Amino acid sequence: MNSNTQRIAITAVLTALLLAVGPLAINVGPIPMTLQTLIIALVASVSSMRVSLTAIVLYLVLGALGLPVLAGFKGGIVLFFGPTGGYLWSFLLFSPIIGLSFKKWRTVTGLIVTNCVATILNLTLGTIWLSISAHMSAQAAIAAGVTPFMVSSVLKIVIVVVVALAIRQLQSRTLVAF
Amino acid sequence: MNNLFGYKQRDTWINHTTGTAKLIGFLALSTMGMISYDTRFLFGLVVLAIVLMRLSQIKYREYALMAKLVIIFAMINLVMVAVLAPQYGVQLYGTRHVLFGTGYWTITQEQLFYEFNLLLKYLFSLPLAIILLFTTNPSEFAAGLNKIGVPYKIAYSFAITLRYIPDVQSDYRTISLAQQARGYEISKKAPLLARSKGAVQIILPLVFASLNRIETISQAMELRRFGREKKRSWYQEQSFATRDIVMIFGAVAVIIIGAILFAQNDGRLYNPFK
Repeated sequence: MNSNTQRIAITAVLTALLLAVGPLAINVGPIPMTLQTLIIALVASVSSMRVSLTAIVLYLVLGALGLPVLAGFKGGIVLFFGPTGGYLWSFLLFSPIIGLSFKKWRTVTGLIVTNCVATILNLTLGTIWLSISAHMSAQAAIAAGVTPFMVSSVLKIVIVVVVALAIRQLQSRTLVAF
Repeated sequence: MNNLFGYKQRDTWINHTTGTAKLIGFLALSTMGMISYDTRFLFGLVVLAIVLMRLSQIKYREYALMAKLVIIFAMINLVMVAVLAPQYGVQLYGTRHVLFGTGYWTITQEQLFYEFNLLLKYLFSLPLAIILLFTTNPSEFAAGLNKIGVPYKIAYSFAITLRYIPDVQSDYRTISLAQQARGYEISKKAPLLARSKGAVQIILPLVFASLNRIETISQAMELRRFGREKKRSWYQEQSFATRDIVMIFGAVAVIIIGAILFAQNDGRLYNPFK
């Protein structure tokens, strides 16, 4: 059962998850570990590329409109063209990359590798844009855009893999195979 | 209930305006407000946003949580700008009036003025977002999207999303409290790993609870013959009224004023240091 209606309901639920969880953060020292990247990676891990891409686009569109649903309850089109815009745009890559592990490479290894690749790309593209946009040197951009997030990124990948595997087990035991 | 997003029916003219008109107004004001750095224009938008907030009769307790969180992160953001790019204001305005400090992290009037503009952007965009979310019926909004050309299935998934948000948030809160009652620690007192476990124990059942809805809802939709036809009617549809046209013209007026100020300032900056 993979009807059009079901896909609509799935997209809506996943988008609501992104909107509800995306702004939240766990305070760990000076830099809060936002749940935005975690929930986006999770949504991409448990649904097909088409569904997760739609959900992520809807989420980003609402954020661009100005609704405070991005990390830290921010919103507004300016964020997509400001110093941290690279991170936001590269969320669109989570869907095709992690989506590979949903259909073609459906193993634990595939899930781990694709999540790592997507996260690395996210940090890389985000930092490159940060460097260009804020006129920072490469070293300064890396210090501000990569180094603080390495520990939390590893942690998020672990959480996403654990949760995604549990959800996939549920998926295989029910008719819902989105 | 302290929901971050929550439509409530009220008898105000903003509530009765169609979601389409409000979206157009929202987009116009947000875009011009984000592009412009004319302090007079931004201040005008702040005043306008506050007036609209009063007119919409949204109580403070309804959005208090969201407001506090946005304010906290706005302050963090302003500090981060001061730390990471303390000379950006000098670049923008082309002059340098030192207040205190030396070297790279000198604090200048230009930088403070620039960050004041950023603060004004926060102060008007938050009320506008609250107004749009709290005064727009999701069903009516979906009908409006369909009217302007969005396929009704996409418009409908948008409506479902907006209806799901309070449910997901409610689930999050319930699960969080239940897990804390069972000993999982997510506050600042716990070390990182303990908090991570706490996060997993909330996210996992939250996702399961959300996914459980999918089959129920999609089956209910199909049993009601959703998607059978190429077109559909809308129970909540509203036709455009005078107030909608007035709102759209008001949005156009704001855009025109913003554009005039662009020309007058010879750019998007209002430069008092010139």
